[in-house]
Amino acid sequence: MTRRPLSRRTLLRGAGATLALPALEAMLPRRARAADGSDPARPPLRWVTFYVPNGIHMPAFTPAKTGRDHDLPPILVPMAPHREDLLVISGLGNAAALGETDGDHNRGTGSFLTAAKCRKTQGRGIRNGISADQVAANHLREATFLPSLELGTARAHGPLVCEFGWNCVYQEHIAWSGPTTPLPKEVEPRAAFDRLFGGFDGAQSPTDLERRRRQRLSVLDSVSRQARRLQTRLGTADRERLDEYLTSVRELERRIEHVAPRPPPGHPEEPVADPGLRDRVRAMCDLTVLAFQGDVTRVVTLMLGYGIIDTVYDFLGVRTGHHTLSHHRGDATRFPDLVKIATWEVSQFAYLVQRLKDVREGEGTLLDHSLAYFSSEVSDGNTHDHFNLPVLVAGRGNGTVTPGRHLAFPGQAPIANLFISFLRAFGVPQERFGVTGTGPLPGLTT
Amino acid sequence: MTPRVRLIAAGAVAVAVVVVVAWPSDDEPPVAPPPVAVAPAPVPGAPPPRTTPLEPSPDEEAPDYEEPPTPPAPATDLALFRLNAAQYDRAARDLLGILDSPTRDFPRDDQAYGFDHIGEVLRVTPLLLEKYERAADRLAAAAWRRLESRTSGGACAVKRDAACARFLLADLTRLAWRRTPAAEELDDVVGVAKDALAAGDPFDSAMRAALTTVFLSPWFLFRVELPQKGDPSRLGGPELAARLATFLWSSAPDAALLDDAEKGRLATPKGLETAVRRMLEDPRSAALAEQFAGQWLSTRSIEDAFLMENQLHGPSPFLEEQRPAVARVRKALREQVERYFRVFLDEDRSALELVDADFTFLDADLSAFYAQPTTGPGLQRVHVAQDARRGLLGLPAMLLMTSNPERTSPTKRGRWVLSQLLCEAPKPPPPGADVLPKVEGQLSMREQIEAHSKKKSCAGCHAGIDPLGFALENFDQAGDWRTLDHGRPIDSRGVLPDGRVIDGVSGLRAFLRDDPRFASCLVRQMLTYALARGLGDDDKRTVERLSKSFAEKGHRLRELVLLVATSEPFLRRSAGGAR
Repeated sequence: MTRRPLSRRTLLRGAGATLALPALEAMLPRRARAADGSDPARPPLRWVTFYVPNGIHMPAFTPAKTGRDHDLPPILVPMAPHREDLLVISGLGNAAALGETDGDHNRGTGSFLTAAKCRKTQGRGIRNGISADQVAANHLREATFLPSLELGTARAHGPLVCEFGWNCVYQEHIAWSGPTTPLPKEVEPRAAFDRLFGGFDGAQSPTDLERRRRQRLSVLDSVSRQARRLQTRLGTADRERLDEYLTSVRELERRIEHVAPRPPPGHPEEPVADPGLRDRVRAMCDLTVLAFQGDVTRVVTLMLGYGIIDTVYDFLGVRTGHHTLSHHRGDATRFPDLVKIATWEVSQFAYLVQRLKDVREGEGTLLDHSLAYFSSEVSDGNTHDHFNLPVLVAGRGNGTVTPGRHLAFPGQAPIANLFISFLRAFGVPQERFGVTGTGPLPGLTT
Repeated sequence: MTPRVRLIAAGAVAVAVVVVVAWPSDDEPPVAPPPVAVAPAPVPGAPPPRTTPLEPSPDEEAPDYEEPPTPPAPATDLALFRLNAAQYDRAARDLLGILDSPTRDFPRDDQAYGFDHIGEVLRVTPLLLEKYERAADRLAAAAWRRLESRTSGGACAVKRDAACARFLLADLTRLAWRRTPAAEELDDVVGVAKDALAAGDPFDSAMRAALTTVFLSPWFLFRVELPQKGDPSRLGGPELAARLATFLWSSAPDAALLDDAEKGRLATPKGLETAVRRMLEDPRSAALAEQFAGQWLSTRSIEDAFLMENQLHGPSPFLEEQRPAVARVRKALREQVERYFRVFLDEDRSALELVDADFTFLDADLSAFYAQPTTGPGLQRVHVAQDARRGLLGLPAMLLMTSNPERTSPTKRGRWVLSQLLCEAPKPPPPGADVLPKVEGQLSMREQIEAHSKKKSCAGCHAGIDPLGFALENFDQAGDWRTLDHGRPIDSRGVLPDGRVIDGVSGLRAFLRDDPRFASCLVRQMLTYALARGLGDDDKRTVERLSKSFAEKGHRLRELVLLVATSEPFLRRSAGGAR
């Protein structure tokens, strides 16, 4: 066997010995923060997206008054304790989601964070755009253990839910690392916890840890060599598919070199296995806060279900499936149930906000250093309205948002512009975004 | 409500969430026309929007988001087929004896064309690769346990060194990669062990690292079909073996099949047929029932779809303590379909009989659906007592999966019959299609749908869909037999647009038995499954030819498997396919 040339890996290996330090250092990623250009003295910015499916009954969501002394309609009542941390934005639309008569939940959910066109296809040639959270994640890539974390509460249920002629992939994913690559989400809290903190093993000796690290890198070195050789024999589409494999290998290499995060001190045990929906949502909110707190990642998307899901909220006393109900046909007797569901959804968001607020960080709270974004793929579920979307932003985003207000755009502004504002808050020099984003949304600060 | 349902519903207060899948656009499309595109208004202080959706000026490029026809996806080459979870699990089981699923925590495989192993849509993401790495560790540990017994023989007799590692790794790598690796490829795998040994790691640790490489390699995770020398469109022997193993076993080829392939025995029609028949005799062919039939009949995912909890317990709230009982029923319902389908393979019966065979499999739970006793523990083959329950239209799993949580959906069921059994795709509802009208008083589901379908814009399609679903109205949303709906007698008679009358479930069975589309649809479904890609125009002729041969063979199911496995597109590399 010929001697293999000295690889990048081998060079990294030499530098690696110092990385096997205990994980406390990981809790203070000074080096990383300096690397992304942010002020080391200041806590980093985080962004969590909280997606809810099938729209919201808007008459009970949108405050009548704008500005600081706006009212809180029934669905927003759970946010009352966080009024001063809440920015309600009305009049945002996602024109990218417009299209033929059918597939609104596909287009709405697919373009939820991409503001791009989703190509209608049953399988071949799935195409969307990169999602805004992933633009942020790319910008922060070297800073944290995970560039982003995708969480959910429901697995897909099979082809019966796909709309006519549409592949289900759009309605099930809001995070897209590129136009052809939806990012799957973790729906088991225990597996997600493992993903965040499973790499940390206090019981292993430094020698064992170092050996494990070295072997893992050696394995990855070998498989990426195999993949690169295979790639030279493939056509374009297959090369792309294998590129995703190679990118994933590199991402894993990067993670192995990163110090494994450990759960923050005093944190209770791992989440229970296979919880019901309510426990699951809470567990996912808790994990989001843990991930932010330990700076394991700064970008999280959390999907409550997925577009078109027909959840039956037994525990709210609602016996009709959510999607079925959302087609209320203007029947006012259906509104109370829709309000009940939306109020519950907002109360889950309120829980997340409370948990972020509970964490002291620097001079303020974790919430002060976060953007917590709440929305749905449509506004009115009956008409599949892609305008007047329900939008909540909680937190101060390190001073990039002035909450405590209702900001209205009566003439409709592109939701993509809100994403541009978020990305600029992260220091990304974003000019346009998706097919409708033209520049930052004005008025986020006063 | 049957005793079974009452049994499950017995209890007190409940807290549970039931998630159900809705078949979108079934009979609940939006009430109002879709909104007109509203131009994002200029925002104070912001630059004017780049494009205005309402009035693109003529000399300006049309805004991207003003949909006209989405350009068709380009036809692509297709040489990589990522293993799906079912194939990964079975490869781990068949190669290494791992019985509990290594993929349990994997994200769900995306689906297309009705199946979840379609090469075009299966991708690798960082999350998945992370899971692959952990699973590969597990597989490596199991593989090492198997190899340890050989560490005193061959090259290992002298010394536990790189040569010994190579000796141990060669056969396993061949099976895992579904082909004999080239010497330098094996060097690469052995190199991992060699490096570890050089760093002072113990031999077993070094071996496990090398084995992890085998199972994290693209050659394990993807089924790869590269152009061969000579005729580049023809599959090589090992590639064909891997296709066969995927199609018939949802697994990897075993040593015997790989030997056949490498010795060229699959290259002759006779040799190929022998191999297929051997594989069908093998218990691993149960995968055809589990993966093919389970997805074709939409029943495989019944354990994931939470609908059972709601539909099985009736109007009373669901109880957490009912969960185990419901889980047991779900599993039995899924297995019932698999056992039923397997009989047609094992006994080489006519596939047309799938529609109306007079036997089924029941256990204590399922016997309540069929209102007849069972004969022993577990699923037992029984004669179906009630005529309406015969065949696949009486399968409760299908009836459940095609219902809404609180009611039946004749449209959904009709669409299921059309798309799954007849391969007819109904057109999407027109703009502004009405939803079920507001309920005034008590109307049966049929009356509600009929009122809706009277609307001119909807009538055309519904006329071809609903009668097929009305025929199944005697089965409620839980798959139970009923004679009343909202207090009114069930009317399960329907008239198709061409005037043909379908009277109840027996009428629908007769209709399907007589319709040549049923057999050719089964051909189509099986060919899609076997090729792991969507079918294109080029495949139409294959479907026609296979359908003809299928009929000549008396529609025997095994013959169909053989016909598909020996068909032209199955022996050729994939290019093109569905648009």
